[in-house]
Amino acid sequence: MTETKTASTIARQRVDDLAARHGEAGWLKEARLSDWELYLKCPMPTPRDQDWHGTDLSALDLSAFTAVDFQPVEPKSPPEHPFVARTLRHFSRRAGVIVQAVGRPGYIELDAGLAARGVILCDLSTALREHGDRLRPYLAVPAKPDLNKFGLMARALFNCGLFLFVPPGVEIDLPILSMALTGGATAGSAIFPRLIVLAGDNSKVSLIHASAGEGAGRSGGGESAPVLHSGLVEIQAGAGARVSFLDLYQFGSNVVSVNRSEAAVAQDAEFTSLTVALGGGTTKSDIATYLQAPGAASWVSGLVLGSGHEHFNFNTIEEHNAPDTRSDINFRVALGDSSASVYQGIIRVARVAQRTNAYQQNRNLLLGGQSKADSIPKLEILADDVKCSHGATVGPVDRDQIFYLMSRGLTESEAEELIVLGFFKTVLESYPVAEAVDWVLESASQKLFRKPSGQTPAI
Amino acid sequence: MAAELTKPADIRSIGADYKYGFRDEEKYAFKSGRGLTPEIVAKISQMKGEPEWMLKFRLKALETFLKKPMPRWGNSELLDAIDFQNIYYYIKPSEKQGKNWDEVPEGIKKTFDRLGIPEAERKFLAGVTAQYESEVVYHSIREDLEKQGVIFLDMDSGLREHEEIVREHFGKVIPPADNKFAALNSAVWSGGSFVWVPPGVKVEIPLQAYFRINAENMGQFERTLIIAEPGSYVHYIEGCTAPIYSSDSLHSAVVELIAKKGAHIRYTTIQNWSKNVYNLVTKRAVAHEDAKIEWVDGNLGSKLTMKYPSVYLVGPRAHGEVLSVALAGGEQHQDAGAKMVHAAPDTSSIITSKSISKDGGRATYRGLVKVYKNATNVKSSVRCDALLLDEKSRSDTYPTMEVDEQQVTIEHEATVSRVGEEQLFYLMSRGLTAAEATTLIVNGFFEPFTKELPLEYAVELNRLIQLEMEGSVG
Amino acid sequence: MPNFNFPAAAGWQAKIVPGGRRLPNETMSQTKPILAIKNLHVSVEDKEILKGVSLTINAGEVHALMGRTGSGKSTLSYTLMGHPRYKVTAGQILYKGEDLTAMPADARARAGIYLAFQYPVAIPGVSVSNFLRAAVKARRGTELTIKEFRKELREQMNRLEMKDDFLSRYINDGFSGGEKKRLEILQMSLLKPELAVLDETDSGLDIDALKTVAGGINAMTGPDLSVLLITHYQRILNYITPQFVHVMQEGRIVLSGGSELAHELEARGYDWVTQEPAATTDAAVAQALAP
Repeated sequence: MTETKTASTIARQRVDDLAARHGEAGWLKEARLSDWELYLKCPMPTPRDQDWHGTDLSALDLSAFTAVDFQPVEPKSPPEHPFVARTLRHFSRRAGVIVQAVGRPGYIELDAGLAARGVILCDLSTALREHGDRLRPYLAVPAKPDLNKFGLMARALFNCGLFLFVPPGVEIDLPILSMALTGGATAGSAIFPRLIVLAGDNSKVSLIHASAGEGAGRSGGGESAPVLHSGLVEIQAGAGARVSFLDLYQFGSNVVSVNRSEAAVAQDAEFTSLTVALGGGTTKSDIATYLQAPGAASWVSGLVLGSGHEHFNFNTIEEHNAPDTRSDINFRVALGDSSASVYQGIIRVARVAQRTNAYQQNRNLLLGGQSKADSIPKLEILADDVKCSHGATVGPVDRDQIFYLMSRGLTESEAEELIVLGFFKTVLESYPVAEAVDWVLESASQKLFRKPSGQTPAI
Repeated sequence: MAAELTKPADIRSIGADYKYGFRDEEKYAFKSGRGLTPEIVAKISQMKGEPEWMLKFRLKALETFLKKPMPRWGNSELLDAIDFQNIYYYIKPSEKQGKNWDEVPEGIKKTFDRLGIPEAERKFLAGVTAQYESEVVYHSIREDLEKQGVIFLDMDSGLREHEEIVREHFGKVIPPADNKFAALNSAVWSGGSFVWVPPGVKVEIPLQAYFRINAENMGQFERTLIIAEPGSYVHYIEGCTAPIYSSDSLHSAVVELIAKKGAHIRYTTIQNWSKNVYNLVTKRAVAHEDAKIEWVDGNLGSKLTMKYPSVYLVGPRAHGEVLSVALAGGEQHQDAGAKMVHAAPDTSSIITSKSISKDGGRATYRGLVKVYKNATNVKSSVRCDALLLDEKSRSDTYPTMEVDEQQVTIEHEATVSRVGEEQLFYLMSRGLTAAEATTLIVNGFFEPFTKELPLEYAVELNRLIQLEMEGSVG
Repeated sequence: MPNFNFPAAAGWQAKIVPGGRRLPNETMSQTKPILAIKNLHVSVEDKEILKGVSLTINAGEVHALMGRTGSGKSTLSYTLMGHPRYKVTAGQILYKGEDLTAMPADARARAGIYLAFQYPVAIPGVSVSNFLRAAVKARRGTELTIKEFRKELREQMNRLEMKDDFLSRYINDGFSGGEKKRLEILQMSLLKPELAVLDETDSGLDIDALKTVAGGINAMTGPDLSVLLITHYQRILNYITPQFVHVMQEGRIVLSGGSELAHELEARGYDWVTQEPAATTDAAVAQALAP
């Protein structure tokens, strides 16, 4: 490989223009500029960096990407799109929907009763105009020191996203859906969505977010520039709140997606997160959970299904910063063809975080002859009264299981696919939104069986 | 009120009861100046009367050492504190090597007596190498082994007497450019062991090397090469101690093992350096077809240990094991682990790591299991257990698994916990004090390790642990 | 429930003890009791479990403490042994006249108190033989020679029908329920306590194992050993006959009597204790205790 030095410098002008175009408040522009400065100082990640472990995006010239925005949302009708239609069919019972798309108008709906009780669901541009004071405490804080160059770029240039606010004590039982369709993005464009979820004390909310860019900007030749998706998710779970978040990626092979999600969990709050990665050229996500007060608990799980030459790199960061907190991580990866995955997970237990109970599991199933999986589960423990453990496995599908299913008449590939779905299902079953289980399994089985939409999986 | 079970919060610091901390008066045949230059390297080579190729090897390694940056992982704060220009790289304690203890200079002999080496040799060893500073001062091997053709020499003699074998293998398993400290060792190495076991010969009683640093700011850079010919077996044990000084010494060894077809090498280390020694060691083995390598690695002493014994499994059905225990006391960082590289089908490996942190000590497990493409039917399991004895201490686990082949079974399990309150209470309800109970539990925690040691070492290790635990007021 | 406060009142036990039997309070003047629990209140994590327990045991006596799961029986046993999680908030435990409450578990063990655990704790890596030698040394203050120790050990193990390989196994690690209980009794026979608290020693044992274990206990009883036998079922009392039976409920001893009380409980269940009004209870007890 030749050492091509990419400057990846973004002109300050771009930040200024962005702020001016949206007529943004001064504090926001300041925040963007300070992140822009950090971005300039932050080196481009290399495959040798610990957090990247072999994932190589060093050839990307970040300065060359042109930012694209979603079109405004309207409360008319959802865009005609098979993914949207399928998702809405699964979640016929829901509290709200927001669909945002590149190159076509979006859609929004919210249960009127919830709106009346002060629940806010809107696109981020609207939120910045109308709810700037609410957002300011979360947007005007410095970036976490371990945020990478892509994350800093997104903080400087974010131009779309969503804002969800649930007032204290409001319990929303039905899920809220968010779909971001990036299929309209052309080669060389970049999108920087930012999701902000504020769940007040003792509130309850489930947000299901899907980023889909199937067949996006497909230009045939491998020579053309990729589409860059660099997303930020920030979630605040107030004291006693119950928040669940499902993040599904289903990008085309031309998409490079680098994301960071952060959840701060307050006293006695419960946070559940499920990340589902079903496609993308390169997908890299850091999923950080900060257990900030006694009684805080989190369940972070992930499902990765790789095929072709897809490359995934997931990094879970679990920080126990207060006593009596617990966390459970369960990341499952199934890789076919020549796909590859790196999973890294760290549990950090601060000295004050006595009586922490943390568990971390990573299982990798290798289906294709060329697939490869790396697993790096890490523990850093500074408190002595803790229960922390982790486990990781890498292996092929159990031949005895295949044989058993084949003896009942299934073909080998049917058997294998069934086992993969079963492998995922055990994680999905603990997810609190029941409808999501079928939706995710259907999405996964479509990829596995390469079936058209609408067929239910055999599990 | 019921009495609190006393936690072992008041355990004495490691240095306080380190019984090997005594030092001898310096009476050396030669002591280099401080610091490292090509001249010093050339002087070492010249004093040893080495062949030209070895001098070149050393000088090239020195260049590599000077060029290579300090590793940016691990404990950078401690690594960056090493002052390479303040170290004595070569000290020759005496003019000649003894074949019996009476030939060893009186002062040095006394030291090894205090360390119990001659006694151990009489009781249960097949051969002994005793290294003091840079040179081996005593060396012996049982006659019957010599008759069977087993070669057990200090490395310098090995180079003189078996240059062809040495030249073929030296620096091949661990090339000087492997890492900064391997490069340093390659430039200034002195002493260590050379072992060659003829085909089919099984050395049933262990060979032992004992390493002693005496001078302040000493750098000890021994070099060990063990070659087990097809179907042979050898068990090599090393131990090490040093006096307590206020400024630091550096121990940076390179150990290369080669187990040919069906051979079996077991390499046991009980590292008990004083708390002012940096212990930065590269240990690697190559296991050919059906060969077996076992690293049994105990780390009790040193200021900072960074050591990850490795096995490169290059032949089908080769097997590698690392059994590692670490005890990190106050101001100690035990950064230890293992590497298993599977490069052939049907190879298997087991890593078992157990660590205890106390008095603010830090124990880190760092490991790698790598499976290359076409290394099918690989089985590997990694198990790490860490015990924290108080709230000042720290435990880290950084395992890495890299798998490029699908027909494999790789497992990793790790736990971190503290001495169970219920276990303590159970033992105390039988009359044991809190300290006795803790010691018993800690010994039990290390049991999988101690049971792999020859009895005499197991007893000694348990005694050392007991010493560490004393003062944990009951 | 004022009706059930009376058992805790001082002197109550004397009223209903059957004639001809040595009464705890009568003997006070002659022999000091080995254990005297006075109005004991114990909390676990700020929750009060024992709410005023009083109980006196004299040298050589066997007492059974019965009651439902959760009534506080095991709390009493852990408290007697000095588990740090069980906090004495009021009252006293006098062992041979000396207040125990500030004494750690090991000191109590050396003083002659023994607790056979309901759930013996596994300690991987620590062999039974090493542990037993250390414990015997701690209790007796002197170390036996290996030969003496082996001899004594073998005798006791034979009696409990234990195989030699027991000794090289790790403490309770991978033991069956029966093996754990046998090890508890083996330890007791070696440590020769003066007061043994046996916490649900019968649970998890089949009938043959129960006979063996009970035989082991019976072999030790006598003037030098007092026993507090904690049990949920009457079953073990077919093999070990207590002189006194106490019923515990909601952290108090609500009923005391002779060994017949155990049979009454077996026949009528624990509900009978709560459901019957106090007067009837008194009568029933009197009836039960009639010669």
